[in-house]
Amino acid sequence: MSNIDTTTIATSKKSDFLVFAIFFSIIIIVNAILLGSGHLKWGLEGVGIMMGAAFTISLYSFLYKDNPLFKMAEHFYVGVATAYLIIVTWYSVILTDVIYAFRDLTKAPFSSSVFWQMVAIILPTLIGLLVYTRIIPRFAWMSKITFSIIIGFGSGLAIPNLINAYILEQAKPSMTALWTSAGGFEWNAIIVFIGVISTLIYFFFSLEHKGAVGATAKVGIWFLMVSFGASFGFTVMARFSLLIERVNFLFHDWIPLIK
Amino acid sequence: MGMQMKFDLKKLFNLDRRIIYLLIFLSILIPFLVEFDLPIKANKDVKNIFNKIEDVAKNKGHQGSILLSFDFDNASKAELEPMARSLLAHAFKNNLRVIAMGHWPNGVELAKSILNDLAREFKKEYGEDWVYLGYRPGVSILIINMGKDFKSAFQTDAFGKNTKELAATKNIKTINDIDYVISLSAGSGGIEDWVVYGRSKYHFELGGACTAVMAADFYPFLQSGQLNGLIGGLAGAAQYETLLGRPAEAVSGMRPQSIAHIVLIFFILFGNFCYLIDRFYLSKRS
Amino acid sequence: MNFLKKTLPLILAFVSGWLAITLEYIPHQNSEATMASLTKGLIIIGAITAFMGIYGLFSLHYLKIKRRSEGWGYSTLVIAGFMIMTAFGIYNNGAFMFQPQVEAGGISWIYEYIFNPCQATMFSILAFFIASAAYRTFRAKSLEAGILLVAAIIVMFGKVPIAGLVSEHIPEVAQWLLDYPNMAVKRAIFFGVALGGISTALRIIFGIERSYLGGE
Repeated sequence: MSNIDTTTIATSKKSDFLVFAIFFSIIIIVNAILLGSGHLKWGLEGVGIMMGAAFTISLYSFLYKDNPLFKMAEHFYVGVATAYLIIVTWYSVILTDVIYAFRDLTKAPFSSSVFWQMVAIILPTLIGLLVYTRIIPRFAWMSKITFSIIIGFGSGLAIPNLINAYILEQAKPSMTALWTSAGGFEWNAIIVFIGVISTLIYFFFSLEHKGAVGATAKVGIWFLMVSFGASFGFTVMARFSLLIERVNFLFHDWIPLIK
Repeated sequence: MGMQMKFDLKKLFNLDRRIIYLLIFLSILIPFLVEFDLPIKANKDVKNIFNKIEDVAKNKGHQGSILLSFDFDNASKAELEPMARSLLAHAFKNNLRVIAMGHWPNGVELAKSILNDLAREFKKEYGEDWVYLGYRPGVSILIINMGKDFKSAFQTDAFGKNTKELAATKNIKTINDIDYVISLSAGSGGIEDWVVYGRSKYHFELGGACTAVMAADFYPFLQSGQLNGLIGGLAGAAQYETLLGRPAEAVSGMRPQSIAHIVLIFFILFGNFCYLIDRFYLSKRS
Repeated sequence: MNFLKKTLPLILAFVSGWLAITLEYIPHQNSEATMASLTKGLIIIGAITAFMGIYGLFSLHYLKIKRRSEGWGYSTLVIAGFMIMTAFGIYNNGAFMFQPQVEAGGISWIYEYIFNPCQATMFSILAFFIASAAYRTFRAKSLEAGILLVAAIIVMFGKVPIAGLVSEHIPEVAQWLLDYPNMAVKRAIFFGVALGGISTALRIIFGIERSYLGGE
């Protein structure tokens, strides 16, 4: 057993080395040519593009196999992403809506309106800070106060708005004439009608799918398949679009192959 | 003979995935290098957004304003950046005021660079012609807040300037004072929230621009009028660029996009062909 | 103590839930103003809680490094990425963190040349996976699978401009498929999503659903 383990580790070490060797030779040779030919200039932008290309290629190395190069890029990126989120939150909300807003209020002449405006900043700040009690196990229960307020209020808001947007406003256009004396059968309306009803019946598990219910549910499955197919087709489009952008970056911004 | 053929098919079935990867990569790179024209025709959903912007411009002129919500980040920049650029170019060309914001924290820097680029190109002045309000958390709560008191939601813009003092936002009390809202959306915290907590509650005009992954989900909103139009995926972006007469990344991306789709369809059909042959020989043997 | 730990959060969820519902249904200017202040307060709460992410990140990776557990070297890279970005964030191109964010500078550079390529590349890798999976598994093994396959191919082909070269009817068929059969299904799903969402919301308000409080 251990014999097999050591051989697999040895081969994987070897192929990891291969990935590193190929990666560094591509990066060094290509960048040297690009800098030498004057396509990339030594400066913030030029180094940036080289850096972007290096990260792109190291992540793509995953397509060959999972390897340390991929993991390194991935982990570094996770750290950067977390920090960025914090920075954005600081500059867009904490600094402007809490610190600056409070500072402006202290400069204004004191009145009851100013007092309540101050409360409207201090109170949510304190409630928000309660979340950090989670760091100390003894006081961790206090963080539940914050969560219950956020989740409770959000749930309360969801109820009327979901009824309105998803049920009432969606039911309205479904109730159109399937037949008119002027135009005869409205085929598209009929298709929508059958589609909605049969899909709903398919998802209605309180009734056994037998007989008429079973037959309708069967039609529901066909409709679902059409819809899933459409979603799949669109998903393919989306994924390829992302790849197109990356190829354009590597072979236009970095290596000037595409015009 | 049958056995031999079956053996070969099995081999093809189990084609190394890396060969498929390589073919997909080439089907995207090669069409970039070979120039050819494709007929790009805008569908009604894309045209509706285009026409709405034209309408606002005709009726309101420089007093007309549109709100662009940058609800995406780098992960879907490939699809949504071309849309954002076209929509901005359209608004700026028609001298409309643009108010930009975003529900996605990771998209702030991206939004800034797109806005700065276009503002520079059309020589637009910050504060007068456009503002960027930046990110605030909350999504649904933020949208409701904007409908009650716009200045409470955004006391300052993304650069710390007071929104009461910026010409573009000075007269906006609630979101209903904005003529058209478009969400550029890449997932949750985007079009759906704008529809549920914004459009259905405050009844402003809402358009959507989204990644192709989500596009199929929004057709009920289009039929009910909760969305007046939709730009879906890079193909939608290319249609908008064509309508605007400003072909850019999306239009040039349609060559690789088309070819890659055809290659994948071929893969799927070929896989099914092998499967059917396999089944045919199997039934013949038994 | 038990009241504070167990009952108080449930009471708060109940009260804030009903407060939201009531305010939604009262079109009075006082209720509108209250709603405006409350939602603003929640935005601030949301922003302040965001920093909890630092604790989550550090507690996980710090422990990994401390215990030298497998892959701890990668954890140092997470921390390094975080530290470098945060340092630029605090430095704010010379203006420091109590001035509004300065444009350009280190943050913009890291965002454009590291964050952007990484995130974009990670998601574009899926293009390869979806292609390989489709080739391997997308088979018309039954009538239903056949319908799925045909619909997928129609949309895949009909939604790219090259279809227009073959016949202008193909894009129209794809559009029709999306406008009617697909729309009907998505609408039915909307009804389901709304009902599910409403019942979850009610369960939270009435304290039946408590998993968000940490599953006690």
